[in-house]
Amino acid sequence: MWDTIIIQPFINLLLWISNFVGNFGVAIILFTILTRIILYPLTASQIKSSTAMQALQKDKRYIEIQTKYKNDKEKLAQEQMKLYQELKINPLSSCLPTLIQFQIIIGLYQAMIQTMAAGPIDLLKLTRHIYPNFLKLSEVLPLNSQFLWMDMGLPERLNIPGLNFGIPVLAIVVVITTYISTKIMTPPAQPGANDQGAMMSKMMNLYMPVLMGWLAWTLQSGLALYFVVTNLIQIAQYAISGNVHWGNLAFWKKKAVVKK
Amino acid sequence: MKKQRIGILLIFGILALSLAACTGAGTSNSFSGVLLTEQNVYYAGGAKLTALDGLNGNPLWSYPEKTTPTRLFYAEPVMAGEQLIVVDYDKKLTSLNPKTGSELWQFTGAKSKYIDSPLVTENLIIAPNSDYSLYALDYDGKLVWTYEAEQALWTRPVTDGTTVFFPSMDRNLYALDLATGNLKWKIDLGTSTVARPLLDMGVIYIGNLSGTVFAINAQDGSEVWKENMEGGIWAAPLAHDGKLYLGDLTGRINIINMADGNLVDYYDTSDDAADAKKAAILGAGVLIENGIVFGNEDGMLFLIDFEGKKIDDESLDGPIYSNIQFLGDQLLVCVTQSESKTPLVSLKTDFRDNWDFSESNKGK
Repeated sequence: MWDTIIIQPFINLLLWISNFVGNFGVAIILFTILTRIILYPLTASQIKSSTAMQALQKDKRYIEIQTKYKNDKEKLAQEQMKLYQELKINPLSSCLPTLIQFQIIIGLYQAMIQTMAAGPIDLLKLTRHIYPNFLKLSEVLPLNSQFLWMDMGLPERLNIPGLNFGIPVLAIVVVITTYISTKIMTPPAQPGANDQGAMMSKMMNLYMPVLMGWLAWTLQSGLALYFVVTNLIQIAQYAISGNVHWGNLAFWKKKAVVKK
Repeated sequence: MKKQRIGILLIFGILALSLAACTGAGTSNSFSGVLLTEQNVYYAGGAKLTALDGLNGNPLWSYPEKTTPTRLFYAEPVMAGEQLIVVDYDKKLTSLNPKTGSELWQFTGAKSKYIDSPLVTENLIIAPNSDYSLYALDYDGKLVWTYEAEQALWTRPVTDGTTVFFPSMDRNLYALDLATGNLKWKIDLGTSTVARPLLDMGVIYIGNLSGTVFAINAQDGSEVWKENMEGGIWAAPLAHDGKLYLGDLTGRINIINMADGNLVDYYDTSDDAADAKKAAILGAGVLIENGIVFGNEDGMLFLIDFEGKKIDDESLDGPIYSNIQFLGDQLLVCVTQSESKTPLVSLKTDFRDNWDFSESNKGK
């Protein structure tokens, strides 16, 4: 079921693009852009929802509720829910694109592994996943998996003469772009906002880049490339919607405030 | 606060683990290989190579002492004089003492994994690697020559004593001078090829993943004939009495006239399958006295006569992907039960059980 609905279409689309442009790395970039375009309505609703949530943090009634019921969590939840209904905000609607994206990452990774066919079992699966009326095995194999200095089927390391270890450039770029994208999407903490929410955001901003970086470091570079392109598009989408908080990146300013 | 921090860390840990699990990281992507000699069996079954007593399947030794998730052994081991040569997914070609399993030397010059085992000649060990290169070593492990193709090499070459022939994922079949590694000729096979070639009376017979079987003049690389089969070809054909016998991915055992490539007959092993699914034949069969033995993906072992009529069959526990081995009156079959467990079954040629081995039962 998962294979038929997700993996097989992904494999055929990836192979078709790769066959068209002649390079699997370029195919991954185009595939990522395509999926982001298809998912744009969901992303737009996510941006809208998070904007509404940010506006809510500044709302007098919201701040009052937080203060008034800070020792009664049940009542606090009830009052918050009332306010959400009144302002027609669905706090969960921003989670849906993330969940869908997670499925795409898994599907893409499985499709990529099978498309790269690094071993006999993968190659056997690949021969079975190709739609015979859409693609011909003789045309799609072998795949050109070299992109810049990377092999899309292997974890990426840049080997520099003189150094006896490879530098994981793509993993570093993944950490940086993930950090930037999560940081600029997080609204600055409001005075009076609860500490728990701020702490959650802070930890997300810290752990998410580490998790993505670790995945990029250990898994195929094709997946790391997908992460980088996704992050860049995400930053662009938020910037276009005018919903970014560039000030969050100026960490030195915050330090100055703390010293005061 | 501390509890929440631990909670968030746990969530991230679970996310990372689930992603790794969903993506299949750490699972194998090949099937086992086995070598049957007069006394012993050498079984490349994943993280280690195990030597077994050929009479009863009792383990004798295993290599390496410490297993790692990246050093995986799947290719059939081969003998080079008094050395046992094994290749792995961790770019290593290792020479072992076949009696003790101790390391004699190791070649670490390859840049990628070895999928198939090397060809052994009188004085050379010729190893195909996924880094696109064919490495020729002497019996001391010194590199004699290297030839780089345009794509990965997954297939053990064949030789006529002066020329070495091998296909590549780049769709070509190459012929190199055995002594120097210089290119003599190459021919486009139309599709990537993983099947081993068969060399018989100056003609190379080989099938590609699209199911086209070629007969090629070994002298100059000219095409003698080509014929399309129903499914892709994964293994070398068997030659007997002017006919070729080769399985394909639809589960057919095709019988082809060696002279002109005409399909004489076929036996469809998928006809016996429980459902309509095609049970692919990946491994090479073996010739025994009264016929040919092939295994298919449904875990069925078939003995057919030379005219393509079924004589006998036997059901095993899982898919048969690997090449079947035969020596004396013993058939050795690797059964891929799952991607992590691959037992080895020894049968007599009339399919009576002899012994079996897996990591759990350690031979019985």
